[in-house]
Amino acid sequence: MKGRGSGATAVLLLPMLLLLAATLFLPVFLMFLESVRDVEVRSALPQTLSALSEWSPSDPLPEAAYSALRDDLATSDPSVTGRAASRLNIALPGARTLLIGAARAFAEAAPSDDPKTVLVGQDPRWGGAQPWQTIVRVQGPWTDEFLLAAVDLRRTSDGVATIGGGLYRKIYIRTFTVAIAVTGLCLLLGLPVAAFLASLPRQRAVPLLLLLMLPLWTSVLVRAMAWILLLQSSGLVNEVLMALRLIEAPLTLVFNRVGVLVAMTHVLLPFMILPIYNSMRTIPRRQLLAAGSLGATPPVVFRRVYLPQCRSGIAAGCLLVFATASGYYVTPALVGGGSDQMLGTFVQLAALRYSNQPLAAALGVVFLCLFLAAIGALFLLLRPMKTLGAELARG
Amino acid sequence: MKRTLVLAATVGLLALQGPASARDLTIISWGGNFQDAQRTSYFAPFTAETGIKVVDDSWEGGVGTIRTRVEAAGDPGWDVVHGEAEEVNIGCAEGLYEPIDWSKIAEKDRLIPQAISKCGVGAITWSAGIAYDQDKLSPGPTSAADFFDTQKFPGKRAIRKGPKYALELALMGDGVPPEKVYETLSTPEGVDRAFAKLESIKSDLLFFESGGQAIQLLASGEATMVLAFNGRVTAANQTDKRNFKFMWPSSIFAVDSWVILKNSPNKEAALKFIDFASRAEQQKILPTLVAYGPTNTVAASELAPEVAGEIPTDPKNLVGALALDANFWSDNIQPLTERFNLFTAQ
Repeated sequence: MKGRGSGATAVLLLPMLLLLAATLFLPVFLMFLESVRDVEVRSALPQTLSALSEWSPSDPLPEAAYSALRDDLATSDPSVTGRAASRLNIALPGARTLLIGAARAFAEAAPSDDPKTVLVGQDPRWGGAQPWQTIVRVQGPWTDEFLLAAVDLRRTSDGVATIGGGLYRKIYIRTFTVAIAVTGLCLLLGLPVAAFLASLPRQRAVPLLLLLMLPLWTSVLVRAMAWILLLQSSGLVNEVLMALRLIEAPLTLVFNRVGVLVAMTHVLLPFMILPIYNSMRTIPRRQLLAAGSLGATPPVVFRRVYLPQCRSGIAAGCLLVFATASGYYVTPALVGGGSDQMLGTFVQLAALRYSNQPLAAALGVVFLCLFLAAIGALFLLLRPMKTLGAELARG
Repeated sequence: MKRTLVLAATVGLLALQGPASARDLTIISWGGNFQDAQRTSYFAPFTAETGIKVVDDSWEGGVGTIRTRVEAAGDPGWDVVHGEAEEVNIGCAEGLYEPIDWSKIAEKDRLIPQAISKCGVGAITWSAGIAYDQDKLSPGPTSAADFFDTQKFPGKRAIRKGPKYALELALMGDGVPPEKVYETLSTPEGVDRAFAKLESIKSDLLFFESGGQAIQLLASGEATMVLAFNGRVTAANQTDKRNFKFMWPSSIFAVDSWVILKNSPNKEAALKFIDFASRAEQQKILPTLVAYGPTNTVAASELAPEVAGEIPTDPKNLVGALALDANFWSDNIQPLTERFNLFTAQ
């Protein structure tokens, strides 16, 4: 009987597991694969690579390499060559034009022409070692170049070195700083609102909850634009403050971090209030009264009776807001300044603008690891499971 | 019961198959009033003439978007896309587009040279340049150097979040003549020089995301000068009765093209549409609606003088202007964007 029961549970769980596999584990796995695979050049230039297999950059280039490149470019499908050109360009900016130019030059030259003369005539850079070295370096089939680039590292002849100013490290820190700040602001604003709503009788709380949900029905884009209009230097907020003579000159409230925090907190506040409200509603009023009649002052009642019982709601709210805020992209793009762009913007840039999908995937992989660590830390800090477990045990 | 099931299954299958086999010609452009103008000058008259239905939608650019669609195999869902020179360039090299059968483009010989390439047929010419409000700034700036002179013209400057146009403008502002801009930018010293110039007005720089935002920043007075697209400036003057001025010297002009996505099931109709959209007769309508120039020289020569004066290819607007080098940007967009983002982050 027991066996049948667990069998039925497994069957009932199957759709969920399949859904998780299809929508979560598989895409994450593919993302990881994309970040380490490096096959474009090897599939477009196999003969060139074998001609270069014995070559070291200090030696003169083997003559066979030139004709091998010609044969590769003649036999590979143009789209395969194009992908290889894009891949080479990531390692050596300018290599795209170089390879596409070489393909064109060979196509226009007579078969009897010396391949080296054709190549160097098309672009003198082919006479140097650098393009060839790059071809050898990105022959794959696996690479850690993109994962390293996503943490601002690069392989050199003697180990790994930091690239430039460490752009992506700054971005991870920035993304988490903004997400934590927004979570904090939402908690600060949401806690009293949730407590107030929970203290109301249900028929009065429901219309207020609907009001709370109202902003969720407007597009994020529209809300960001509305904040720009309100916060800009000739906007309503600045005009009111100036009319009240509270400030002399308009404050810079938008296109900077202030604007990002205000707009994101506005968008995410309902996600904080709702779970907290939910957990607060289950706390019996009588407990609070009992604590009061036993001599606890209101702050003590709040801290020792009320707060511990809505901990799971607070944890759920914080997790929801933090997770959503970490992935934010449109709002900071619109209301933030140059130094407020979050990771999403950079993933988009890499995937769509630089045609560097492996870097986009690598940024995603690194971010996912950092994010899971952050969520784990948040879990340890708030211990929602402990209270949940205690509640379940209480029955 | 059985019959009902069979019926339901058939209906279900038909519903699945219906739209896939008979998808209307799908054209993708940049949205907003630009696409409204294209609808009036191209999409609607094309359907009226040929009976081929057109569905249009908008995109945000980026060759990655197209690659994802084409590599998904089968029908990419889009047929004709209005792309920027860089997207046309890279996508063509990667085999993401159908090569253009130029024998089917009747007015090929009337097109400007930049409008003709292996995979793309030029659709419009447009410019990015300095714009300011003549009601607030008089006399206004006259050169790129004035954009960087916050003593002479105090106030914020707004540029797009990205190195494209900004670095060119910085070099021209630093005294590099337009014809030397890309040559200078191809050297590490040139890149340093451009960033140093931007650094010099960093505390007065604002960064915007979309072309519409530039106009909004100018209108609200948040920025004194912006790097804007010429069509948006003219539109603000016409519809919102603004007195904005687009500065043609040191502006950067570019050609956008129509491309046909690889594996498009509507290849023939797509080519027919591009042929239609290249005709002088259609091309002379668009500039009267938005101030972007035709690629058809006959269309350009037949424009009314007040319309012609607002478009990038007008000879007097080309004086001191710079032609965007799409090859340079397709090669260098990543390192320069990363450097630009480091610049804005500090």
